[in-house]
Amino acid sequence: MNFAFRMALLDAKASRGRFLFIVLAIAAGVAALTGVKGFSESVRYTLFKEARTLMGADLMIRMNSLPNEAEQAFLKTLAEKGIDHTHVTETVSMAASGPESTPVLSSIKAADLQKYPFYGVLEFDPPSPPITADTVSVSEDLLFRLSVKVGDSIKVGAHEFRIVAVSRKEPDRMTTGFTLGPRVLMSREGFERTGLNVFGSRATQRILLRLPAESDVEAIRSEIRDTFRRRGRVIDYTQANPTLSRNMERASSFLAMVSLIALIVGGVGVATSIESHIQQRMDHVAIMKCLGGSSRRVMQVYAAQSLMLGVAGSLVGVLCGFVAQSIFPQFLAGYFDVDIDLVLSWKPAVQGISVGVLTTLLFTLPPLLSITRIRPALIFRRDLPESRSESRSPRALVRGSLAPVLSVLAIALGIWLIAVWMSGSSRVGSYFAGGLIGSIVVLAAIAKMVMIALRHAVTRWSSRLSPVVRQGVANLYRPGTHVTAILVALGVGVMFTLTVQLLQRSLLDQLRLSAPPDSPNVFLVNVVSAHKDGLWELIRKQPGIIEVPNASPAIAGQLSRINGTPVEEIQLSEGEQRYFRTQFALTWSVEIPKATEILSGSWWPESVAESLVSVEEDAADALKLTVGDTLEWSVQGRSLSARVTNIRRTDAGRLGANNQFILNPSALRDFPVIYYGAIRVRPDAVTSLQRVVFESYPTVTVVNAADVLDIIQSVVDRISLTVRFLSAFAILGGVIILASAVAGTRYRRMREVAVLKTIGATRGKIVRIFSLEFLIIGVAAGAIGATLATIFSVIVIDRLFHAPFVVAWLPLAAATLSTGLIAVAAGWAASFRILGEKPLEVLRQAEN
Amino acid sequence: MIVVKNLIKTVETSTHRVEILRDVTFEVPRSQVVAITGASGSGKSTLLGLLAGLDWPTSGSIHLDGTDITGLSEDELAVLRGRKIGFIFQSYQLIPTLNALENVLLPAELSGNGNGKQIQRAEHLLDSVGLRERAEHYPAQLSGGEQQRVGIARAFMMQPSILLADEPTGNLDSANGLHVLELMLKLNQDQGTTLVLVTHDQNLTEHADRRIMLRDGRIVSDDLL
Repeated sequence: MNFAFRMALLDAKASRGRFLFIVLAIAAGVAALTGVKGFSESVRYTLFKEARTLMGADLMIRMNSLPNEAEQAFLKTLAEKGIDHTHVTETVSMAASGPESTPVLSSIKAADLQKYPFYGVLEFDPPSPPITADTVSVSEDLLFRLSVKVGDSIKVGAHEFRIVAVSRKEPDRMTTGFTLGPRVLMSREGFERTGLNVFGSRATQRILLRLPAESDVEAIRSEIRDTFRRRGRVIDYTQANPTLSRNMERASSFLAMVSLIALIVGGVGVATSIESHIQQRMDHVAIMKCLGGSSRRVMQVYAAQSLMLGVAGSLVGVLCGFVAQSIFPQFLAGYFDVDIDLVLSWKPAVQGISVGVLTTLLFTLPPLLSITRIRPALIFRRDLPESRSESRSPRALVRGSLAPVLSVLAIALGIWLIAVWMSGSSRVGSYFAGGLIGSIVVLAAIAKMVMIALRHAVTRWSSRLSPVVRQGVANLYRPGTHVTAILVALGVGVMFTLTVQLLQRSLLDQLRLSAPPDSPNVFLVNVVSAHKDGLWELIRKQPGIIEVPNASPAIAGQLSRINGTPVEEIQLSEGEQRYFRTQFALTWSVEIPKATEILSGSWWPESVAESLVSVEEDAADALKLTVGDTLEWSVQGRSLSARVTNIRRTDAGRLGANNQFILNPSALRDFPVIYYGAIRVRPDAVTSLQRVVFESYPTVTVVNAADVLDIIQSVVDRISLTVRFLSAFAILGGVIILASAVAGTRYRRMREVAVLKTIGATRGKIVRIFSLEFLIIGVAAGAIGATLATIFSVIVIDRLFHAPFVVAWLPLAAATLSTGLIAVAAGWAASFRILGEKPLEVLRQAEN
Repeated sequence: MIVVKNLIKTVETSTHRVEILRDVTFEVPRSQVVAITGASGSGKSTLLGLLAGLDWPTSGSIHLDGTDITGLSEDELAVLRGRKIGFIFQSYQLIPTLNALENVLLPAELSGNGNGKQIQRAEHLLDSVGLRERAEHYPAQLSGGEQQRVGIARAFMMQPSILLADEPTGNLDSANGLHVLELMLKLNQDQGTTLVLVTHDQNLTEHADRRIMLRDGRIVSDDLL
């Protein structure tokens, strides 16, 4: 066997304990990484395998309006060719259990349950419920929200339904994207009776198609595209739900970055452990140099050792990653309605091993390079002073100081490369690597300063402190404790975990707070013309109403021409193409909306016959519009044309800031519009308003902004939990490093305990000394991590919202204290046996 | 051949300056056995270390077989040691994780020559120091005398032209010390190696061809015996 590997292996046999810690430190990071990547592979595999089930069809046409006559005729011809189709409608509305109950915003799905879904199975409890025009199945959370059970009745829109089952699984649920609130599944006949299917409402229509075997999918897609054109988006099952796949890919990349933190922490552990190991092997290195070994030859031995450790740690990490992979579905329970097939794919394993080995080798560089500085004369004299001949040449000097700098640069470059690889984006990878390296540098600097300050403080007030405190603090400066490295490792994990938690809450708090004080908090959706006046009158009479602006009309329209040119002939980037695909809510206004600045052109006078349009700044930039251009939309099968009279910018926090196109009243005069309202209600009066409106106008959806934020909060909470689970691996890495450092100083501690016992210290006193040492490390790491997490959160909130960040002291205190306790537990786990050693035995061994 | 000229070694610590060797000059012809003696702190071990290229002098020169070693870098010195110099330590300095045979073979492996032929030579050397049966034993399993014998075998592994020994019998009892001395002298005779010993051992001194005595870093006597 190669000399270097053989020597490395023989040397490793004598250092099993220390090397076990190194293996574990690497394994923690690799486990997190391969867990994430492996789960992502499993999801990708499942999405592909279950693609038809997830779509419920072979092909799907997604539209924002009902199929027109031509489209319906086309579907009939397809049916004659054996291509079956079914129609699913999805919308949001209110559901209530009775006149006294507060209506709940719910996701409504209507389908022909004889056909739907073509693939996959809906699961109900009890099974096979009779879903008719008067019955529904609901998700379990609706039962809870409305305090009802199976067999009770609920009202959706204008119709009352009896609940006949709880929906346990709807495999195609993910295809619709983000669902708002609890779910109600009903028949198409039932949906007709609700009255929700109004002209111009914002329901999503999905036409599912089942193709006979051996069909030419591409040819059929092409036919559908030619018929539906931009009114419908055609997706086939082989695309495996592109939105979901893309989102999973993004999530996987982000979570891989989080795992990288754990791996880098592990790298810090490797560096400190290998450094300690080489320190202990200084004599061996000196002997080998005496016997003719060059620095390079000797370095090969320890490099081989690091390589073996990296491989071992990575392999253990990959195995643990497989276990971690099986835990992820728990976090995402309820998000997927298909069982994720856990697959042990080679790709995440190879990635994990590559990254684990690379990290190990990178972090071993600085201690390896220190071998060049070990002089063979060390054999004769330990305390070799620096003799003049050492600084013999400028070249040697430069080389001596260059090596550590180059090794640190190599580590930084390595982290960057790994980050870019894992994220799949050089931009994201660069930001992440820069942030992580910056955090580590700052953490290390602060840790060093804290330790120096502590030492000075204890020295200064030494006479006033108990021996336990003096000794506990003094232990921090014992050679080989690597306190700074431990503080950095633990601190990084605490900092990241806490940052996620702090931002999770404050982002949504800021969303609530950052809305202008006179912003509406209740939104009325799907108000038909016939109901508008009566509804507004009803609302104005209710208690707690602060402001009721007039209803805004809107109708869905899709851009068809710009200055007479069909949009299909206009070249735009992929991102800008959405302006041609989207069904815009076209609204009108007489006056300039609040908080709006006219950037060019002018607003229209009150009564103008010509159809005019005001375009929002971003849309104007994307479509390269100027004042005077003409826009044409397809609206409910008809054409609507208008001239651009101004380009505007509305304060982003305002309602309506998102309206890309506002027309003058003349433009929409001849079109059937739906009305929307945005009103301001005293928060304690919202639920009674919802009840009153639902009773008289059950087809109107009343959205409480607070409820929407709560839904977003619950999604954010779930994401945050997943991220924090992964960042816990970083904390685990820090704990392993602490335990490793404690175990590495075992013999010194044993001698110290023996001497202390000899001079009269009780076990209790010794326990207090060591506990204080571990506690200081943990509390310092927790406090530094918490402080940096707060600073980072302040920066993010300021950048995003230009708002002050409110410090949450409780999480900071909890993080600091719990890190202290974890450090004490880890420290004692690595050293509890030393308490039982007999002093004489230890001292005799020391003499020998 | 060893040529030492005007060798000075000064060490500066944070508090004071120590002159360990002061203007030492001497020559050692090939195959000569030289004993360097002197009281503790006289500079003997430092002189030996400088001859081995384990440190650099403050001034002066050292030529080994015509090569001025004072101008060489650390790695160049290591290579030179591998080729030309054998070293025997007072505290044996065996690598504890290698067995006896592996310790003897180490110089060859460090120079990239750990092949079958060298393994045979290592076995032969262990045999010549009477430890063939202990080839697979680790230093912790060997007595002091046995460890030093392994050290001697290791020192002769690369057939050095110069052998340097720092108190080779210093940690041994008289019986083992005598045995070690006999081995060193026999191997020296067989291979014609120049042998430079630092020693307090009178027995060792008596077997040398020449004695150089140091006091306070200077040569106070240099006698052929």
